[in-house]
Amino acid sequence: MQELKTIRQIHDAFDSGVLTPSDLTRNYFETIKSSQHNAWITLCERRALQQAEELTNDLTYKHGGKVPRSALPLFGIPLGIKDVLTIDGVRTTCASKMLDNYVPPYTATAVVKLEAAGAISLGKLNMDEFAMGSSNENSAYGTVLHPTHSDRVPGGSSGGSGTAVAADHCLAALGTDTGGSIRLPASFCGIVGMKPTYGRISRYGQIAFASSLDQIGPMTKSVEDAALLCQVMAGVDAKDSTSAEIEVDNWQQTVLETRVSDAKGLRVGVPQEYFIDGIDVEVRNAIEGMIQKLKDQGAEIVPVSLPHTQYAVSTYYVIAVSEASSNLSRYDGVRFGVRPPEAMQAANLLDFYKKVRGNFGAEVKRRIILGTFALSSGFYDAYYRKAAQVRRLMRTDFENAFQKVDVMVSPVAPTTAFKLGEKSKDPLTMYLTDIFTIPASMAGLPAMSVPVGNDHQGLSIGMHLFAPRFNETVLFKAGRIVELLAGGAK
Amino acid sequence: MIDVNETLIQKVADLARLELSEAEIREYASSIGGILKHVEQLNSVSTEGVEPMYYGIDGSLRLREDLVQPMAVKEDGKPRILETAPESIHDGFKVPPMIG
Repeated sequence: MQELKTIRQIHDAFDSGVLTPSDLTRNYFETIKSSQHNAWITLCERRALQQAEELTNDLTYKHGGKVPRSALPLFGIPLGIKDVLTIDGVRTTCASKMLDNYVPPYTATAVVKLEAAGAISLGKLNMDEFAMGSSNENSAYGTVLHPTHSDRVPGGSSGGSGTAVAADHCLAALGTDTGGSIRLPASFCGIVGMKPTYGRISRYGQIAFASSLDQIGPMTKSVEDAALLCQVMAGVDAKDSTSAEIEVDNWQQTVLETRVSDAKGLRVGVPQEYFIDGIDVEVRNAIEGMIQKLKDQGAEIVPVSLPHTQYAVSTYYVIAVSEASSNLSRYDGVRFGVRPPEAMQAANLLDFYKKVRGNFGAEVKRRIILGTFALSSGFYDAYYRKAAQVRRLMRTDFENAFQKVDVMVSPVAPTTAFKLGEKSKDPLTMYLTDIFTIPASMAGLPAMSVPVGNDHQGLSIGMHLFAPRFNETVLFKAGRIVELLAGGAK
Repeated sequence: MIDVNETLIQKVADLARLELSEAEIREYASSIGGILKHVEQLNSVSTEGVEPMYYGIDGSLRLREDLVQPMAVKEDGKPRILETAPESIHDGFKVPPMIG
């Protein structure tokens, strides 16, 4: 099948009768099953084919052969869902042995909204266990391979989503981002990945890692589709008290109306702290080249300073792990999840918990220990409270800088996709991969990765864009300009 | 600077109810020691009088009406939440003997 890259292309193919939702869904399952990428943990083939068949019948008998674009904007669009999000009746593992047998009795709000708009869920995508990782080497179900370079990582933690979209296993996917877990794999795999403002999309049904940072977002082949998925999922939800009561714009329309000439007058901030030594020279050249193109189109390039950037990784690896140690205390083997046979031989309750929780993977245990330490009596003020204060300073940095600019740009990561095993033995080196994505997470900003080029090995380079809180409109506009200047999705 | 040794790791692992092998304790003492050494850079930041940012949202959380909502049940009337129980008995969770 010729690769159809956007929702509009697929809808045009449905309209012309050359393709049906059922054909498309079957084609994707064929691609998935012949793939060696290990991008999927669980396929929901029967459920998906049934969804597709109903939509195919509706297309002919209910809608007169024309896709009902405004009522069902995702009509017949097959998606992959990161296995951190629940679907009623479909196994949801979070890539952990702990939840190997977990079949939730409810569906995440984001997935409910996508399916209500006509989307089809093909299955659950591989990821780092409990979304903890930058390379997808921490999955209990095996490492995901990079879509085009089998000796490389796809990035993490939404690595299955990155590879699945780039290798055309599905039209688009959901990822989740706590410190960069959408943007990094999007950059490494050469697709668009977008993290909305914290609170934009309900987290109901998203298995928690760090609740003050976690956000769901789209991973797509175009900025337009990211905008469309985002606007379908966004909005207040009674089931998530942190979801924001703020109006959702028509971001797809924003993208459709954006021209390269709209760069004129756009104030683009370039944070000097993001162009440090240690950035791969080809990454730097690609990003600086795009900044020059923006300038050539009339954008105002403004150097800005975010002075606390150097503390981002330290701050994150105190706050995120502290929240994780609390969130993951629910895995006790009593009410859900795996209860291993050795735990049933435990002498007492404490021993039972320890035997159950011994099944967490190595990185998850490391973070639980680190977080428990940071929250423990005698260390709380020096670590957790201190990090939360620095987090406030990082947010103030952004607020000051956004007085002068509309949007900021940087690399997503200092390098392109690294080799499997290259960083997995040294956690700190791995953590530093997220140095440019963590700050926007700490401040709750909307941010996006847009492909702008490749290195000499053909590995993708993503430009990182971030905008003020709840200003996804300017983010999508700027992202579309960059996409057009890079010669991306038409 | 905190001395991250194997005794500390074992103590924290006990608090977190995690069973670790001796090899894991050694590895975590080393790796967590390295991470905390990096984190010590935060001590150079002046934070006097800075309000900590613990949450992702500004202001307070919305409160819901305190209403009784129906529980999801299966066709036979049994609560759906029991579908996730490692073991269930009648209409309840069956807990391991050391709890019950």
